[in-house]
Amino acid sequence: MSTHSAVDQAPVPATTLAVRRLVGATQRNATTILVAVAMGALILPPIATVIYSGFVNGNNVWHGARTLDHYRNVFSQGTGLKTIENTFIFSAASALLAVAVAAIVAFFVERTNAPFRRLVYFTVIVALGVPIVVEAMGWILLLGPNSSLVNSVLQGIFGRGAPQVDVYGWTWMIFIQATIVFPAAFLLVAPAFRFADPALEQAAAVSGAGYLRTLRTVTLPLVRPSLLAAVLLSLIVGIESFEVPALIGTPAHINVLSTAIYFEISNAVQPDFGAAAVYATLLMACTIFGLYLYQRATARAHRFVTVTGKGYRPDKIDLMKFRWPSALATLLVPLIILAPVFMLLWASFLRYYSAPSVHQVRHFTLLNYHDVLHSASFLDALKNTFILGLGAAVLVMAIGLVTAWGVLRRPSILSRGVDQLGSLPLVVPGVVLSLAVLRVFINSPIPIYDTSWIILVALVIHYLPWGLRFNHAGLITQHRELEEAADVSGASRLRVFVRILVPLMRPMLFAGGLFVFMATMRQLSLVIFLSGPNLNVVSSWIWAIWNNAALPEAATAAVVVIVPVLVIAALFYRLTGAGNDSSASVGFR
Amino acid sequence: MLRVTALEKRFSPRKSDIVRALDGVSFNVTEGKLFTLLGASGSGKTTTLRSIAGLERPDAGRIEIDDVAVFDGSAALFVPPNKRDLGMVFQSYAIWPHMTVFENVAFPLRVKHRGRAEIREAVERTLTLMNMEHLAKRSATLLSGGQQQRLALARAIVGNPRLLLLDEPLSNLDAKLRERMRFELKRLQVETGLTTVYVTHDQVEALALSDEIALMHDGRIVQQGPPASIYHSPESEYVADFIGSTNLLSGTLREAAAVGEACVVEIGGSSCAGVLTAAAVSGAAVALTIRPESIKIERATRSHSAEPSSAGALHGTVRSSVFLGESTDFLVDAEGVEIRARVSGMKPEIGIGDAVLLTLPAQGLVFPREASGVTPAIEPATADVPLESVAESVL
Repeated sequence: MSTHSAVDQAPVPATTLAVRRLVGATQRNATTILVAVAMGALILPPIATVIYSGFVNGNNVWHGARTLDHYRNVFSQGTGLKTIENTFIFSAASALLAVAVAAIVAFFVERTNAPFRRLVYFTVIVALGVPIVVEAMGWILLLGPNSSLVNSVLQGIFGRGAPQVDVYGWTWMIFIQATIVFPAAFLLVAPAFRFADPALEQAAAVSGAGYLRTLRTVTLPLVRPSLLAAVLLSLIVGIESFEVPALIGTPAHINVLSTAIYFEISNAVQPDFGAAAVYATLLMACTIFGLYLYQRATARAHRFVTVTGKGYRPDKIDLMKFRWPSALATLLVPLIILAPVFMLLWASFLRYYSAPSVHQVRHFTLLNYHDVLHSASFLDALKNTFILGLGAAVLVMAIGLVTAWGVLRRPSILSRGVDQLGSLPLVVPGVVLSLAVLRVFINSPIPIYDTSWIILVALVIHYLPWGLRFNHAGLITQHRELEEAADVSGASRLRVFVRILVPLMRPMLFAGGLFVFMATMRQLSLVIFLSGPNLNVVSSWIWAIWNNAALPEAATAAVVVIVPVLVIAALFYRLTGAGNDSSASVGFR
Repeated sequence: MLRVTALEKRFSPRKSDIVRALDGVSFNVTEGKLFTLLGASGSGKTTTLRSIAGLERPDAGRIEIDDVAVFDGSAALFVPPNKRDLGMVFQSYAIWPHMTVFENVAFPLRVKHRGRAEIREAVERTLTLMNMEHLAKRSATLLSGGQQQRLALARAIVGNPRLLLLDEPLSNLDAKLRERMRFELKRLQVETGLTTVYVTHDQVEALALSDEIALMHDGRIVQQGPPASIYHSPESEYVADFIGSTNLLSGTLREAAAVGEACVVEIGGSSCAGVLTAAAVSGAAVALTIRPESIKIERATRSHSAEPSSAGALHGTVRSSVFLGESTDFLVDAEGVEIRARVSGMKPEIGIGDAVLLTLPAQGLVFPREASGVTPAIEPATADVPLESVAESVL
């Protein structure tokens, strides 16, 4: 059985060998190395700069003297600790409220025959696309002082001395934030209810336990890990959120970390980059802490949850005569999501805003639409929004595909490192990233400051983790032999990507791209420091005009963005089949 | 044509634990022949094939195709799969669902930048060869299992590769189709004259198709040779057990004999003649291998039971019988030893519980076991001992 090679090869010199090994390793990991370099250049400088600038005096990061003054200032008057405390109270309370309601609604939607199941899912997806700043504006119109809807109704009923609702305060700030994280919380919690093993519940029922007892002793413990994960995720969203604290909290003098950053930069006579950087670093630390808790909770959850991928459906409880009353729970979702949108729709038809009432209808006009659609700056912002959203979606999915390919098909320390690097933006809240990108490019030789490129950079960094996640999920279902068949056929790596991988992954690439596109449309915090009078996206345009108290135009512009969002949401809904059995929850927000 | 030398590949699924997927695999494949890597799952056969394709990178060793090295561990040489000029059929077929049948087959030619007319001509010729020219325009997702298999084959051979690699190509087909495709594969391989490396766990397939078989176990080739030699002259208990449905009867060597000579083995209460395959002392634990079809089974008559068991004859009771169509298998309890016997042709009139007489042939191979008496792991030492006198020469 001896098969020694007949021809003896001359020994290869050691240096040639080393060079060959290096070249071979480079070729093998070429795609990953390329992505590593690009990603490193994109992600690391902003984050490093923003942390470093908390320790530097003056406005130029590169030429200032190093100092600890900023930290001393922030903490000396107790403002720093107070802000952190506010951030946690705000995000924890809103997270608990949102998840509690989400759990109740999810129970009715998934475990009973309550009506309007599909409507709930659809409005949840729609809500993922409505800009938060728009929703917050709607809530102000609904609950604000003076002529808001609720207050006018209260006055109509109780007369002049009627109790009044004031949106500007802790209660409503928490409530409104809860309505904003609700869709994400619901999408996380619903699958747990849907896939809980019915055999466990049947066992309890057979043992003689009634519905309520079964619910308390079996069903709830089963979904508890998912509830915990949803609470922590909503907590992170709350920590990072900017719009609600800015619009609702600021008038009530409630500062959280994200608004503190904003006011150090935008509302001060002289922007204080040092203090902003301190708040930004604290905010990142809080986010990291939240993510750490989340990962610990979900890692443990896998051991507890009896969620299986099998196609079986738990028995649905027949509510019988309570079926229609239960619509109160399911209709709550469209109500809280659509109420603020309705307020804006109402405002958009009136030249001078007034709370909804029957006799106002005769003042309806389309003049606002005429004005907004003929406003050059708005159209410019709209165009920017679409181009930037499209560009970000394409870039994010492309980088995500190559990275996910490296992780799954060429596993190595390097590709895992790239994966980690690409997930790093998860710990950088939008406001912080906005500041960070500004900080890097404001005195950079790369002249993209005050151009839409700088916004594109911020968007790509921010959505990269989602790009990775979508592509990872998609690629893991592709049989690798489909690519290997092309390799063996003689196709180059590029050709395999273009001719085999991209066509096969098209549904996932499209769904992921759509998700990113939709998410960019609602971004305000990410562009807050990057936009300017000559550079706007729709959300920053609305923000600016709202701050100028031009309510009818702001409302009209909001309605104009919501329309394409509805279309895209419908498309996304169809594509991912959210609410069908196969749907996994799609993302965080 | 293909020369694989001392291939080694280790995996470490966990840090502490290293699996030797390939442990010094060497073989040659002659031009135009069909060479089969046969083995149970985990034996290293697929890793070997993927190493030849360039989809897996061995840790050491050398692979040459047409006298040109495509992999050499000691020279850090590795030619990527797309530069090796191969055709391969995957276990999953790996048909691209976003292309038509025509486009699937045309792909290897397109990446080689062949002319449009040449591509059309070659694809049509190949599809005709596979009897699926009428399906050219069909979407690849609308094919039956057998058609997918033929499409995968067409795509693998269309570029007239230097080497055709087949990774369990028939394992996803139903029994009937598998049998038909076996013939078709053989016909195709002979017609095209492509040098082929075939990987399978199915010994029937291997015996039917191959010019030469290498049986792999634990990352090593334990025996290599033409199908008949593997079947009739297994070099070890493992090979004997793997190929065919063999009886492996534990016994004691009664009279030591020279290697290759007849000896006597005590099994249960009786004794049986066999051929000793390796040196062993009297009283050593051995395994006697006997093919079920070479055992004669008959209903015991009174005269039979009167006489004591003679050499090669065992009394027993039928435990169960399985009618297989062209033959019938009997499981017989012969004085505590389970023996399978096969009768071809008409089903004999023997029922469960009947007393039977088994007559064992005298040519059963006798493999000495380790002193412990446990079934030995196949040690390379046993496998590599030259057994010229026993086996018809293997190489």
